[in-house]
Amino acid sequence: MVKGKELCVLRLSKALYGLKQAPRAWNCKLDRSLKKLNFKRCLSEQAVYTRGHGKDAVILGVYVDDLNVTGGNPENVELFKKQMMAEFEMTDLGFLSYYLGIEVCQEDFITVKQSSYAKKVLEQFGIVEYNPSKYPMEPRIKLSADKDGKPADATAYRRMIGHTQLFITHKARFVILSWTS
Amino acid sequence: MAKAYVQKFGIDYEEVFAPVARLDTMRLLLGHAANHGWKVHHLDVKSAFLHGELEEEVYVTQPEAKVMW
Repeated sequence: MVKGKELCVLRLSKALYGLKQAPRAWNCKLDRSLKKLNFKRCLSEQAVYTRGHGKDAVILGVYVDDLNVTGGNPENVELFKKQMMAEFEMTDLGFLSYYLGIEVCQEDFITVKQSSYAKKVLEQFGIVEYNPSKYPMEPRIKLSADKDGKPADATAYRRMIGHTQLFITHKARFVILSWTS
Repeated sequence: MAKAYVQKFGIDYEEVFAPVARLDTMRLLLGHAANHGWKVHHLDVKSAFLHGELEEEVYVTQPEAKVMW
């Protein structure tokens, strides 16, 4: 701080990006807006809201600024969109097609896949051309120490493992989803 | 930039949790829609974080590169 200018500090009246209060402040604002539109917040999963019952129900899933909406009556979904557009500046992305690395295809039934995410990961690590393997590691592989080698980049390695784990956890469960649909 | 480190214990940084839909929830939503033959729509709020109203007092200093006052 500049000497003699200690009082030159701003008090924020609204949230800013990068503020640790920002996600919560936004969520509180969204919560108030949705409740004003007669939505009920799910008790066991706070990111889910519903309005109406049965075929007339509108179900909403919130992921920060992404809203996923479904419902039995398309008119109700459209009404919700209009109401939200009046409240916030929004982009209508139409039918859900890509969400958190998952591709969603909605035709007669809903299918999900992760191939473009997988490709992006392979590209990121420059291993697109590598041969696929059926096993996480070759059986009876013999490893020897590379004494003159450079130390591996631990962060890059962890990043790779993280991507793989995310990919596998999603994949195992998506099989079940495509059965039920 | 907000200076997180000057905030006091138990006063400023308790209430910052914001819920987001877990992936299981999204799968359930998709499964439910698929089961009923519903469509899932996707909306995105522009500059969402700027809409938030602060419940607490937050002070910021101006960025060093640009002195405005």
